[in-house]
Amino acid sequence: MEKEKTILVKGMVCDRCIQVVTQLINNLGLEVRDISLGSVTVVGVPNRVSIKIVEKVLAEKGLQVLEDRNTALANKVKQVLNELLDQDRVYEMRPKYSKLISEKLDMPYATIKSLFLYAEGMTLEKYIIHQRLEKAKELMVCTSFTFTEIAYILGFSSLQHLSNQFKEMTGLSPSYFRKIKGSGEYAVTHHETKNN
Amino acid sequence: MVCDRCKQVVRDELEHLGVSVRSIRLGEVEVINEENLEEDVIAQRLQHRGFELLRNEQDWQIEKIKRTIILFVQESNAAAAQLTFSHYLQQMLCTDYRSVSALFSRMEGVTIERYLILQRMEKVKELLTYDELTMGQIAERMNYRNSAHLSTQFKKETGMTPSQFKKQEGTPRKSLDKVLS
Repeated sequence: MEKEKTILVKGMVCDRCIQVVTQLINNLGLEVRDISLGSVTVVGVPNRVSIKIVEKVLAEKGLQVLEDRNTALANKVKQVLNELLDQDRVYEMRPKYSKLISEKLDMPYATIKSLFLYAEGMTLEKYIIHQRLEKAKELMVCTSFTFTEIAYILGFSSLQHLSNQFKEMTGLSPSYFRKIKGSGEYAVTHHETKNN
Repeated sequence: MVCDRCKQVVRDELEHLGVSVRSIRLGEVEVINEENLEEDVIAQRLQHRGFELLRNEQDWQIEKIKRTIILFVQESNAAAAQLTFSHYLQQMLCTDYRSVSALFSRMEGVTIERYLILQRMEKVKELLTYDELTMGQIAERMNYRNSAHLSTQFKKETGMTPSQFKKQEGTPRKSLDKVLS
């Protein structure tokens, strides 16, 4: 069966809005299964990319795709984490990302954690460690920091800790990774969740 | 016509008929090449999209009143809050409130105040479905005294409390040009 998705649309107020939205979706080659003021159910939206396109064409007509609260929060968490990791800041104390995120968003970590899980279908811990390791890859390839320094910058308790985690995710040891990737150009791949 | 999508649709339809649009506002279109203007054809096409061509002065007045009310509700903001609704309407239409009100009741069969409430309820429904603002925030934005006042009116108008409305599947919102039907 083809995949269905209900998109919440902000700004729809009348029958013309319904006509316009239907037309836009059809123009994208998608089928509208159901439409009412404020929401449209579309058949055949396989992934996040086409949602982005839908978002764009609707925006041109002054309509907005509405994120539910959890998704909005999860996106915010991701953004905050990326900012934290991109600072390349050397902390006096080992950074604890859960605490930093909770401070930035001014919400208890337990709440953030459970909402994140709900929206993303993966635990926040897993996401954080993944992003840190992605950042570690970047630092290994693009900088001359030693592994110990990298471990320290990204808040791992020791080189051993970093190596273990790294090996668990990639199957490679950090030094081997640096050796094979260091010469060529390396693009940071940002983590995308699979359930979208 | 109640929103930007309406303008878009009207513009598209007219251009499709070879009529150049100079400017368009809610409820009004100014066209350039009048020789192409065949009112009946236009009326028919627009009717297809749910619009109606206004051919007499009174309908035109009513439409203007409705449009003003819709704007008042949609953009209910601090500036509007300074004025009572009747003052706002008087200012926008440059006529005396009593005659406007009398005309409206006569033509539409409901009072202007009822129409205003219905429009406000639609806006509240809209805001509720977005799940972004609390009741208190919605009440403030819509210039209600407090959320209790809003809830009471909502219940009276829709038969549901706001939270019941939120829980409901397939929320029955009305097109803003059809609140009376």
